[in-house]
Amino acid sequence: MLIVPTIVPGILTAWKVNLGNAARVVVVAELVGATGGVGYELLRQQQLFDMAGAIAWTLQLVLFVLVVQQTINAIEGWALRYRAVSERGDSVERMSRMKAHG
Amino acid sequence: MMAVAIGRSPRIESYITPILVFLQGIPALSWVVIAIIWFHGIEFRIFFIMVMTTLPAFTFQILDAFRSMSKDLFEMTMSFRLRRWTLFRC
Repeated sequence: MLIVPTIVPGILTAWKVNLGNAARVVVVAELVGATGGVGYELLRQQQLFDMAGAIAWTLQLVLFVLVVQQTINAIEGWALRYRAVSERGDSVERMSRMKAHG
Repeated sequence: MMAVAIGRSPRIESYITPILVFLQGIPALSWVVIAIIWFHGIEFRIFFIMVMTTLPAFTFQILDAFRSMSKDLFEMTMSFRLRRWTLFRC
């Protein structure tokens, strides 16, 4: 009742922060140690001096990270749905507009 | 799990925290070399490297979230005399 609801926001934030780090580490690991995957393909594009290919694989990696971040945001929106709407960032302008109108 | 265990007992904390700090200092390429020497399966190598590089940071962040729990709420739940699993679950 107490521990998991306290920890879940921290878990989701840590997950989002570590996601970029993990993606970078996996690409470096695949660069030297794998026979398939994004890092291996990046190495092959570098050996062929193919700039378009390298950028293409980099963009694919960025797309993957963006998709996973959106997934984590969706999980966060479901797991923390009990939070009131006014916790969102756009409430600041709403409140300042309300103060201006009196 | 590990973070909750660390947060609860100082003995586990004094045992695991130095190991995690040590593991955090190892650069990612060292993990790559270690994984290539130790394991044969390629997918398992990558999985091992990813776990070993992100585990200490993750544990420390969850430990901070656990420590930031409000003491008042904790004492309030103590007054309900909950079992340990009920205290833990969501």
